[in-house]
Amino acid sequence: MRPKPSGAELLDLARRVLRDDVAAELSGPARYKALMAANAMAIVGRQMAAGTEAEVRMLERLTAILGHDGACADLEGELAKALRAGDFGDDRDVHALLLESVEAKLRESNPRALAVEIGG
Amino acid sequence: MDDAQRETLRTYLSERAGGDVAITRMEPLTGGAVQENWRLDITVDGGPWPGEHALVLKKDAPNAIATSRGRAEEYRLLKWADGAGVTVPRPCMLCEDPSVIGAPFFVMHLVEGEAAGHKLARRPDDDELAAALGVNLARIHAIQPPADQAAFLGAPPQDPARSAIATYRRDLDALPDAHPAIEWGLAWLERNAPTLGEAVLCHRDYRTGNYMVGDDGVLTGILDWEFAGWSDPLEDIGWFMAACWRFGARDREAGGIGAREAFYDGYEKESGRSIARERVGYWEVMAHVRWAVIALQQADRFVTGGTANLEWALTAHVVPELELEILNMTEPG
Repeated sequence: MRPKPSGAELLDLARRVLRDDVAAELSGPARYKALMAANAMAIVGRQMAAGTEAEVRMLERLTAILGHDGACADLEGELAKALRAGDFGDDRDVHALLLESVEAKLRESNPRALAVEIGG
Repeated sequence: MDDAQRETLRTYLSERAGGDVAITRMEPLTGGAVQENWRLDITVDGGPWPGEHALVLKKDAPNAIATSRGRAEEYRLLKWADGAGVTVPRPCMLCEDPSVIGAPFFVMHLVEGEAAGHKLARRPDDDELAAALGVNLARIHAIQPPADQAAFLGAPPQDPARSAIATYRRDLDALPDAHPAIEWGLAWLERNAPTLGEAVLCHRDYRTGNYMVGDDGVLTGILDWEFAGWSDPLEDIGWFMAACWRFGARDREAGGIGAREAFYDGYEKESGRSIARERVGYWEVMAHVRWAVIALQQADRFVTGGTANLEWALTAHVVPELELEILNMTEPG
């Protein structure tokens, strides 16, 4: 058994110390870098918490739209090629799939942008 | 810059100024990724420009990215803009000889003010500033570069929108992963491309963050000319209006600082031409695609290139926000 607190809890605490205690004592480029580092840690924390659920869903939807299965990255590549070739032009299902994929990424990369978008 | 380079610079400046130059201050400014910027204060004894001068020295950086212009070209663009009445830091001198300080550089007058987008977006609504930015963009679009100096700009594209689409597709192909949401945007841009393109001299990075505003709210300088080139004038307008450059002030559609119509009004009065409002949205989609591609390229300098730069690494996480805007603007009807 790994000791408590967990890695996720440690990461979160370290991020808050960096943002609230360390960055507050700094100014200029050093403060900016500390805040960027805290932001990077926040992204890692959200990725750890989110797990692979979104990728599994995306794989199901990609399989349904393309009509065969495969690795997620390969299917994304195939969809990108099809879009480039002019397929799925105004396809609502593809638009919905892309939206869902982007929202899943945003929940990890920048959940605030998602809140703004939905709120406004 | 070491002491020897500083002395070489001082000697060089003395020759160019026709008087004895003393460097009273020289310190690095936080600059872009593609160049080195220095604050440079000098005192000139004798010659046609005697007295104290507060200046900025811009020098090519070793890792300049391929699509941006070198200092010599940026200097020329600044000269044209200054001559056309655009509010810019006045250019003073260009040195193309790399032996002076290790790379070509130019010197311009320092302009005072705030450029940071997130700060400007927190000031009160400022339609006057938006109008002034419209006026300045109209002046840029009216620049007729002298033919014998404009070779570096290449030939104006026959069809700016389609050539931009082709460029971004090539850029995506050079990156490791597939980006279906951006491809969706590019396919939409291809289907909706304007039938008639027109090319003028565009700034191509005309947005909040790239101009200075003084304490009194007055525009003091349009900066960052290194991406300038021929394009559809609406590309600059769409880039300025794009939601991704409003720094959180989403309701102030002109760059997060004022009203869209105030900017349009300034542009139209100055140029005597009307802006096809229904076409600007197209270029706002293009703006998000362009920024997404640039962000991916920047992140790839860490992912593939191994450059340990946290800011570049984090740029990858701006992309989903841009993709969301693209998808929302191109929803099937």
